[in-house]
Amino acid sequence: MSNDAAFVSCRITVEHDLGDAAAFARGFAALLSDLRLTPGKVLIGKKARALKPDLLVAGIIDGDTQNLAVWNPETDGALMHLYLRAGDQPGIEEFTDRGSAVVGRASSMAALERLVALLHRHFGLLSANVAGHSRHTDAEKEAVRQGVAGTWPPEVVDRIAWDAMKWRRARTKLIRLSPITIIGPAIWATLPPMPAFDPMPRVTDLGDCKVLTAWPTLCEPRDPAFLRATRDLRAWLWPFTIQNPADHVDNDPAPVS
Amino acid sequence: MRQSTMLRRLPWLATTAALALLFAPHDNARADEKSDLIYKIEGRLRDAASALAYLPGDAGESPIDRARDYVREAHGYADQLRQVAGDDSDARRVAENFRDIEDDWNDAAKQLRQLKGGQRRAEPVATGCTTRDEELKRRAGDFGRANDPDGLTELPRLASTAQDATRRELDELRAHDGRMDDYADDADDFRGDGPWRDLASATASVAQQTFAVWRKSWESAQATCNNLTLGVEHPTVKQVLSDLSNSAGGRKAVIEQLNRDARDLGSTLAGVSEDSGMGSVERAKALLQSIERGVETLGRTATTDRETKLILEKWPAGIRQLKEALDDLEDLKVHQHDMDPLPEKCQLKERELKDAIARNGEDADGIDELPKLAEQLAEPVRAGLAKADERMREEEGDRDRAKAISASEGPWSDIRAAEQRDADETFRTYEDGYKKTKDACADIVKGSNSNIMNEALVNLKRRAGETGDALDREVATWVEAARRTYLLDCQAMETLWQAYCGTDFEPGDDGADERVKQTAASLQSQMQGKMGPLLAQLDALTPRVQALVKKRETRSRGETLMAMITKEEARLDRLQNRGVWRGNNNINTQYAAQYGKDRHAAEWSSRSCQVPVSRDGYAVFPGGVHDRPDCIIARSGQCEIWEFKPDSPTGRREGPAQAADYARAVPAYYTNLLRRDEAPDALHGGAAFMAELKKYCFDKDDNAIVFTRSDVFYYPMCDKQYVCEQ
Repeated sequence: MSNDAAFVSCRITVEHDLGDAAAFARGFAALLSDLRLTPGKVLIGKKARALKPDLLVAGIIDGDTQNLAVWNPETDGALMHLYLRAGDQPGIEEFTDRGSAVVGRASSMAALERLVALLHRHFGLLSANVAGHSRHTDAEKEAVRQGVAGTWPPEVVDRIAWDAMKWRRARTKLIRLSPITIIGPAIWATLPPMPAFDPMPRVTDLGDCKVLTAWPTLCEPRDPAFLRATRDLRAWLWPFTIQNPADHVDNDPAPVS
Repeated sequence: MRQSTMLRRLPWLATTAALALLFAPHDNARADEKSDLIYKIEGRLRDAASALAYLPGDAGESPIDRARDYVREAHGYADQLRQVAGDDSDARRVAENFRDIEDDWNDAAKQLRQLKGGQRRAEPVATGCTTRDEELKRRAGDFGRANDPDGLTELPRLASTAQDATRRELDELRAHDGRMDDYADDADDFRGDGPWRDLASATASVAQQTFAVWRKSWESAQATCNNLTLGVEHPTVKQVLSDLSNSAGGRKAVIEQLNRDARDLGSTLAGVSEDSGMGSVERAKALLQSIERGVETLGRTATTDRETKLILEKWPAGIRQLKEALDDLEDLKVHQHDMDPLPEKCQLKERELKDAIARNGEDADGIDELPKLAEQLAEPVRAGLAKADERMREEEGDRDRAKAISASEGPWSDIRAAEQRDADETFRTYEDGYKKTKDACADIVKGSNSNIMNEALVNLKRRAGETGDALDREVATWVEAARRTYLLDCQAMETLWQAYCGTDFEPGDDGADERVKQTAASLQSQMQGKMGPLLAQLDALTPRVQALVKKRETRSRGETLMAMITKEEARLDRLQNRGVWRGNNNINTQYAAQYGKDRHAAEWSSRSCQVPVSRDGYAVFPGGVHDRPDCIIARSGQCEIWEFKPDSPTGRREGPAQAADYARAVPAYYTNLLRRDEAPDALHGGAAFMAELKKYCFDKDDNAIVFTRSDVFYYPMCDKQYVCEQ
């Protein structure tokens, strides 16, 4: 796949809390460099510190750490918000969106796939949506959703706010078809056999997850050409998504005459 | 390794075949031993199946015990087989599978015992029904033979009592049937192949047979009890009632009783609002029930004289309306005096506050401490008044529904008037109490802003300034001056804002950071410069305070003053000669904290945030690292959670984590309260905010409070100039 976009966004939804924390922490620390998160900083709890592997590993293993952020402080640097565990406050688990977010250079796609595979081994992947972006801030908004600094057109804000509001549905359904959609085994098992489409998406294995590559380049999530060419595929997939109204084929941008 | 379908379904067959084929001549002895053990296992399990087959006809559970003994014997052979199986994987699997299947069988045997034990549960019920039915028929016969009009009221009551008891018992049998069905299903779930097949089949068969015996017995009991479940429609009762009511004497007696009950109902209702308890409402309900029964009895008469016809035509509507109205009247009555004790409670709280003010006397500590007490006293009053408001709305609804009666035929005119008058009077008692409570609590509910408190504070401040001891004033003045030397004042805040934001960068200038550093250093130096002269003043002040400490009668006051001086003196000593002040004393930290506080307050106001409930208050939502959102809103089309943060690189990384923590902790907090039908405390918005959440942010599908947005507003540090208010 050739990459036209400078940045990649990835929103990852997982099934359960972290199991073997030590093994995951070691695997994650080993990926930092390929994800271009080093030299970086890490936010554990309320304290931001320089990113050091042993500090990161200890933070992940600490049962009180519920999530953490890692980022490269250079301009438009890579960043990741990582979900670890829900915590033990009574009743909080029901309201916990087990979502992680990654923003990086489009050239780090291979490392990103390894990260998704690692997350699947330790958290059980439900789905991951990968898209390309020309602006870092757009990638961050797409992946992180809430609390991101910047301004975007209202349709972007509304679409992403809807995703954030209906996060419960993403426990059993895909969020949407993205240029690359990685589907965990539980959701894949709910999909019926795929009919023929033109162009036909490419399906490859990533462990027991499936990588659905719907477009030859890593484009924006609402890229008109991508939406036009995947209209039938998205219509077929619609019942198995969280059904964000913005994604319905009837709301596709009008073709330019 | 893939197996054929047949082999997968019948692993036992595969095992036996494999054993037969695999044993070579030199291993004959071992093979014989294995075959012998397998033969014995098969035999004992067949014996178990045969023993179990006797269960349906047996009086007890002994067939299950015998089957269990055979299975245990087979278990012994399976243990031996495991020891001689060696590396023969098939033989080993046979032996090892045995325990798992045996566990399943033991579970199935437990279900069979339950089935057997419950098989005869319907018999005592049937016997009870027979006895009850005979008694009812005997009583009906007595009334009928004596043509006794009392039977018209007594027989329906007896039939209804018998009906209730019978229905209760039949309901229990229905529940028992559900359990029996589960036992049979669970026993039927037992599966086993190979030597277990016969026992599995026998288990399923006896489970079904035992269940069938129960079903038959249950159906028989239902048939026996059927007449009793009909109540007054019981054939014998119905016939006797018909005979009695068709006689002129019987009908007359019923109508007289109806009129008596209606008169009693009217006078009972007239006393509801005056009643100190619920007795009159309960009596009214009992009378209405009696009237309903009487009308039903009259409805069964074949003769329809004018009076009977009128009653049958007009009274049922009144009965139906009054039944509903009485429920609402009952609610009104339950809460009628809820407000009565509250005015006094508020007066007590006011007295408590006044006493505390009096005890405080002229102590200047009261300026800080008394408002805290006033807030503590106000807190439960605020919650109580919020509940009272909510109850008031409910009372209005109850009153209107309690008055919604249109029947006016005969005695119903009086009944209606009494019910309506009563609803008004009962409501009025609550309303009076509500108004008195509002009046009595009007000041105390304001907490630290109450008139009592404000007046006391004015006096305390005036006394502290005008009539206080000269030395007290001097120490207070010195402490105040000391604090001013290390706290940024408004002018300094303006200067720092200018340094941060106010000057354009020109080529050749120092960088912005350097300019801030220089300004901060200059301010700190000015502040340090004021510390020396202040410390010098202590040479004169301290000995005067020490003199107070030496005297017994002034020691306490002197120690207090000395502690104030010592604390500030130590701080000035520490800060006077230090390079860059650290921690909370750092000039830039002070600036950022003060600027942030002001910006938070401004955002809270401009967005009309509902929680926290005040611009400088906070509410804690446990669940994550960040638990104090800056703003929660629940309005039409706007269910939002906001955090306000300065726009900085680290702030931008913290923001999403904060938004994510609030996105789960805030809805979790309110949803948990909602599901328990409880209101949040005043710091979390109280009952009024919960009402807004229910109205605008409730998601029926998830039965949860849902927010459409949890986000962060990053305020630029320079977009609003810091200006001292004149």
